[in-house]
Amino acid sequence: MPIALLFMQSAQSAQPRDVAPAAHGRTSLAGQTPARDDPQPGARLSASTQPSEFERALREHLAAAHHLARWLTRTQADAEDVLQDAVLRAFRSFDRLRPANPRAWLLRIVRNCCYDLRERHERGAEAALDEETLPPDAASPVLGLASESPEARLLRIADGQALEAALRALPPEYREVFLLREVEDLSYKEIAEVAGVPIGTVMSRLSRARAQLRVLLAAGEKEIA
Amino acid sequence: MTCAEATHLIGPWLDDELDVRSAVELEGHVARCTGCGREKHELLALRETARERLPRFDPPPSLEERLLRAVRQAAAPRPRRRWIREAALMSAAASVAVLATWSLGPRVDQAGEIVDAHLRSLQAGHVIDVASSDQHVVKPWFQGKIDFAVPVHDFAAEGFALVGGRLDRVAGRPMAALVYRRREHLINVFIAPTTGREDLPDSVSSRGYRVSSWTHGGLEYRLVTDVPAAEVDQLVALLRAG
Repeated sequence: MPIALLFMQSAQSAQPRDVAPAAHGRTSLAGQTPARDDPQPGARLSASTQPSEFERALREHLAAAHHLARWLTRTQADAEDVLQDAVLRAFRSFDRLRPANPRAWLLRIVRNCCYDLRERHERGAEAALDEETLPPDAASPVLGLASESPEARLLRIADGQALEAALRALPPEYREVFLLREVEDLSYKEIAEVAGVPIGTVMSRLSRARAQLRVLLAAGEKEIA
Repeated sequence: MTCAEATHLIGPWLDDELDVRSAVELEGHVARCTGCGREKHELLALRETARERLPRFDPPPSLEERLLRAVRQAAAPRPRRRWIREAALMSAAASVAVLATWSLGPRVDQAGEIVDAHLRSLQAGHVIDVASSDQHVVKPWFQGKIDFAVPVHDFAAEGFALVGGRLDRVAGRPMAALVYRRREHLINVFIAPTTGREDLPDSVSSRGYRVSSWTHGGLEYRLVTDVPAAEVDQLVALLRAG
């Protein structure tokens, strides 16, 4: 097991949804359990600091938020519904939480709204992700699978359409970790914050996602379909 | 360093999450080991494909403005009890009715507020803000105006034609109102996110109107009309299934 990794201090594992911790978060929220978004009008924000600062953060991170929502929902309409919900939730708690990392914080809320929508669609029929969904022994596909030449494997990996299909075939918990790392360029710590899991879980999910994607790509399109 | 150890570290190494000493050691191993060298190349290729060949879903140009509008609306101070003032402007008889229901228990009280909102919409001639029988027009109309997604379905085939929708405010809460027509009767369906506080009665009659209430998918529904009860139940069933 990796022993020499940076930032291995455990991240917050069981936070309530919606409530995004600040990135370096124990400063402003020390000792305080963040409450869920407060729907009471009393929690509304002072007009002086709002909404300009929030709006700036929203404008800056909207593309990333939209991209994530699009990958975690089925349609553009769903993604926009989710974003609207998420942005209002975010707005209501922005002043109270003053997130140190607005991007990770916003992505976390968007992500949770996507999962809420999925639950509503599926009526809670699907159990929570089983961490063993992807076999851990897929962690080293190069060493395990030697049936194809390295060049042929690299060619398959370079196929964007095939990668998209493979990514959609992954459980969303793996899909999001891969996208946040490879496309949004988030650190493990930030991904842990967005997904609400410890850094160790981010690492194992990322490793399995990469391995499984390559297994799917090597298996070819027919397997994915 | 063995391959079994190295292979777990290649990902974190390429992610820049490895400490310097391990990174140096790993680099040495990867340079010498064909299998681990391939692992590194594949992970880098996977990253390149993800960054350059995956579809990038850019937000539609209007989205930012719509979201900001919703935020500004949420930021505006809420006239919480405006409906009371509106009620006061109504006819004296109606005002008496409001006061009468106000003094009753919470269930009837709430039904009273719903009936008030229904009457207000009829009296003020303000039944609909968006007139359309097309659910694909009505649903997006609510976006940016209210902070939840409003489920909209037309049941014209079943005899309940969607007429349109509007924004309303009941007991200080913003609600989406969907309007259906049954023969010459209008039906208001008020929808708001559930607060979890209300103990919703199934149905209550107040001043000749029937108020049916239920929750579904995190939303509270309150249907009010003077359509006969059996027909109301039919629409309630359609809405609950929708």
